[in-house]
Amino acid sequence: MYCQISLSADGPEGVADIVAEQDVGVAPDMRISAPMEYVPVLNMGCKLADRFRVRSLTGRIETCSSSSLLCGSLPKLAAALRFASQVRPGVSWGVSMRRREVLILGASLVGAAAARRALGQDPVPSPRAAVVIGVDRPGDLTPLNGAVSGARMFGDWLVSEGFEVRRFIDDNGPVEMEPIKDTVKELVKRSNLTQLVIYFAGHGCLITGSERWLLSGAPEDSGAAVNFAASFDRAQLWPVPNMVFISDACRSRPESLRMDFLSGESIFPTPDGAVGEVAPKIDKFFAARPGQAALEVPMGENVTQYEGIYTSVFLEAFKSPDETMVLDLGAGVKVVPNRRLEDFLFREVRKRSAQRNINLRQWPQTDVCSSDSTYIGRLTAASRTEEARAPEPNLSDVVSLALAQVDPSLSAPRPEFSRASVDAIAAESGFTEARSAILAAPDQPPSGVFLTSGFTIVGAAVESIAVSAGARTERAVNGEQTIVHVEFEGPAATVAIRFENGAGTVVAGLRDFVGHIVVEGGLVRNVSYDEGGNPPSDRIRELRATVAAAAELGIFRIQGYGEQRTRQALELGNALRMGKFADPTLGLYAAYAYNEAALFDMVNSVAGLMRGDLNAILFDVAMLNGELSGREPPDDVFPLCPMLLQGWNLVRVRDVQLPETYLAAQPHLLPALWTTFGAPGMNLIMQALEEGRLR
Amino acid sequence: MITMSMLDRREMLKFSWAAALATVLPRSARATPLKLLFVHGRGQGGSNPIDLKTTWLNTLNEGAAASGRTVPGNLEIAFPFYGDVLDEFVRQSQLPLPSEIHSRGDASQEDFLEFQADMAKEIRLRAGITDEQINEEFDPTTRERGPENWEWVQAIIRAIDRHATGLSQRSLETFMRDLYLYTTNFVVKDTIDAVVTKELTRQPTIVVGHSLGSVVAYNVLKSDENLSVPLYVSLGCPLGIRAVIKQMRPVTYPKAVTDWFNAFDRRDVVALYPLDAANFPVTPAIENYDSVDNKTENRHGIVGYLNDKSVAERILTAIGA
Repeated sequence: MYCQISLSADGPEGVADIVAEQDVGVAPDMRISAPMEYVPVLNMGCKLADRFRVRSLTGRIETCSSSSLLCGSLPKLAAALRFASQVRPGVSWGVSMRRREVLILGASLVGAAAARRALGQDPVPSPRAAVVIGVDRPGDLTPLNGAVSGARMFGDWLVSEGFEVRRFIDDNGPVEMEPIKDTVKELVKRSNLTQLVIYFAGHGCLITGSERWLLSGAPEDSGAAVNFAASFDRAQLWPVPNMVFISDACRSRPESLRMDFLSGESIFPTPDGAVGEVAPKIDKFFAARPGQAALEVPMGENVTQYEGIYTSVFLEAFKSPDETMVLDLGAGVKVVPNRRLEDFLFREVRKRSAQRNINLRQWPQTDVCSSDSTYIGRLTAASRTEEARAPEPNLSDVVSLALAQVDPSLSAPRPEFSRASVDAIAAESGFTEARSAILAAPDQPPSGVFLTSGFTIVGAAVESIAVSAGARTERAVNGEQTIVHVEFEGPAATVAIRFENGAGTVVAGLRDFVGHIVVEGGLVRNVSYDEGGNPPSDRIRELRATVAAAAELGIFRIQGYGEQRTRQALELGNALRMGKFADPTLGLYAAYAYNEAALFDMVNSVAGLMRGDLNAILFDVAMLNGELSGREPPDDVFPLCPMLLQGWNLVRVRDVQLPETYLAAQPHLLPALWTTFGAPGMNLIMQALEEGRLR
Repeated sequence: MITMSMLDRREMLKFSWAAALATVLPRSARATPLKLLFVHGRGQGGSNPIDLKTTWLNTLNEGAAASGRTVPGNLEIAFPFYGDVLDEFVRQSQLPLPSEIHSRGDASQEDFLEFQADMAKEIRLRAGITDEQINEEFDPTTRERGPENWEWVQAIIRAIDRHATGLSQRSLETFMRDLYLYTTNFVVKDTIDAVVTKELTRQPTIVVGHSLGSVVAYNVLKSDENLSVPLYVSLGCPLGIRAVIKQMRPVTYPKAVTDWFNAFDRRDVVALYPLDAANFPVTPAIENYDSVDNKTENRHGIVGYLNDKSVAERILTAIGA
């Protein structure tokens, strides 16, 4: 709870009174001093009382020991009160202070000004704030043992770093969506907010390619989860210089159907009207890579207390960082910037998970775009720096090297890693296998078949095809490959393809382009296009296989920081376009990566070029370009639903109106990189297309 | 709340002695002499900067005379002039005034209209303009049912003109337009900032900003923490208005500024919101002084601010005069 501090002259001399709005039941021996050792000291020169009383408005008065309040600063008192309010949430705390403590400020003008500033008005809200969520027991799922304690520990640490921390933990009751949304709304509207941390510990999963963080009502209540993609998308609209998402939760794909319905919600509101020029730098810290679990383990020999490996390592980074992680800001202040955490987290989390069990895999994923001086935490007096250890390559290095091998201008791999060491990570992560499988899939019609517009499908027999008005199809089967010829009246059409198991996909058919659909296990693993059915160059094949494999693992992003990041974005754009769009799906991937990196001009550029080349635009690109928000899709948008699964997370938050048929089919989406519907969903779509109800 | 009046006498004496001591300390102890920099507000295009500077200085001397002081003759005074530059930007922008708009404009004007609507609503709340007073200015025959009713916003501005002491409808509209241009267009902001920045060096400087000029000065001071500004005086400052703050986020206290003194007349409609924790949350706090009796017709003119005795005293004390 937020601590409102109002200062008055009430109370006996030398005593600071903490006043609560209701009976808070503070234990007599309660010390609100726990986090004090971390609190920064501002030299305001005032002294506080050597004891204080806690008093509720119901008249109950309890005296507490507070020797640590002899800390000599108002900010420390404020921090103590915040802590007290977190111990007893739901209570608005205040303090009244005797004049003497304030006016010993001294006989300097500086002191006088400080006193006036401190006492002449209401307290200034903190420019650094955090929302800390910890849920041990969502619904009837397996209870966790370390989420609440981890959230509490993380929140305490943030308090010690000067953050105003709002906690939502389920030790005293359910954690619900609305209070979290209200809090985030209040914080992002704060005009002096410079940094906002969103921390979550609890059950998580990947649905439609994006994280859900489960609150108490999940999974029964499909809205009782934080939809990360939607939250991230809205967070980009707020002019808070740095926002940090930290998740100590699983990113595995759920196996039960009821979890698939967990749509979740954005915890960020939409700004009311245009806001300032500041584009937020949003840093993301995930405990695991997509598909993996995040682990909690017993603490040492104690099997009754658990800790999340990721949270524990994250905090450890500020207690015993490598020398190279530390940035000296001068005046004795040393910090660990956000962007220097990646190697440490990857190395230590990977190591600790393997130490528990050689078969356990937990690879944290980090995406930081803030500046080198942006940080959450400082080193404390107790911190000990460790000798710098050779970093190990991570998943970003895998993609970076793979892109550089296709085109050196696309990426700048870190030179300290041998190719062998990066290859080892690539193999272990599944990247190598994914890329090889995409490259190996036949992406040309058999010799003798002349196809300029249509599709080839491998990996599943095709049961039926439906197209939107103005297009006709003919189908032929050649061994394991199905060949679909499409005739167009216009530049594009919607094509629905049902596989023999009843599942299927919806894609854009593009005049003068042949699309190649790779199906594996009934799920669409890859879609690519070649202009006029001409075989692509080796470079294009390698590039799109690299990009698709990275996207499949959830690790395709614009690499680098600051200017380097912008340069990489431009290079990527040039490479993907190759003068013209050699493959529109490359533009699709690029648009997602640009959007995530808040390079909205680049998204707009992709949209413009795509329209110029195709006389049509893929739904996802139009959506990311903001063309579908709150309005009917233009006639040149195909198909009328996202082609990549991750796009479905943005439909609601971007206020995109999908046709009823797709809304009804949405719950039947399957966990594939490319939109794949289960049989019930495909039934609806096929029928609507055949009846001419869908474009 | 503890106020200065509640300080016990002994501690007050300590204050007083310290204050007195500080004011009589020899200024020669400073490495470089002080300088005074004035940043003017909007609506100065076509004016002669030398004449304007003279007006400002004469008005400050009027205020100083009220307490028997004068502005030192040898004081270095800078008066960066951006009036013509701003006028040219206004011309280029082709943004119409609200009263010139008869229906919602094209998409390029949406943000502008929204900014003005936000600002007008805030001003009317603080100025105590009632719904009934707005209704009197509102044509009841055409009411949009959209989320933002533009005719209603125009009625608000007319009601402010009629019922609040201060700016006329046209003055308010042009003020909002110029404020919008400066706070939302980085070309405008950078160009005007550069005019002011050119006059600032590492030399300790007392900065006085008026109206839009107080926003410009704030932006300039915030962007260079190596400047040395013992005192920043903002007069008739609109930074407490949420619509303006939204464009300046995050708001921070300029590190280069030691003390910030914000003075306004409670009847000045664009400076109705004090720069306090609720409206402009920065640390350390800004000292707000709301007792200016601005004698100009709109309660906003610079000559009604600089001749205030307390304002002049603060400036003169800071420059050691």
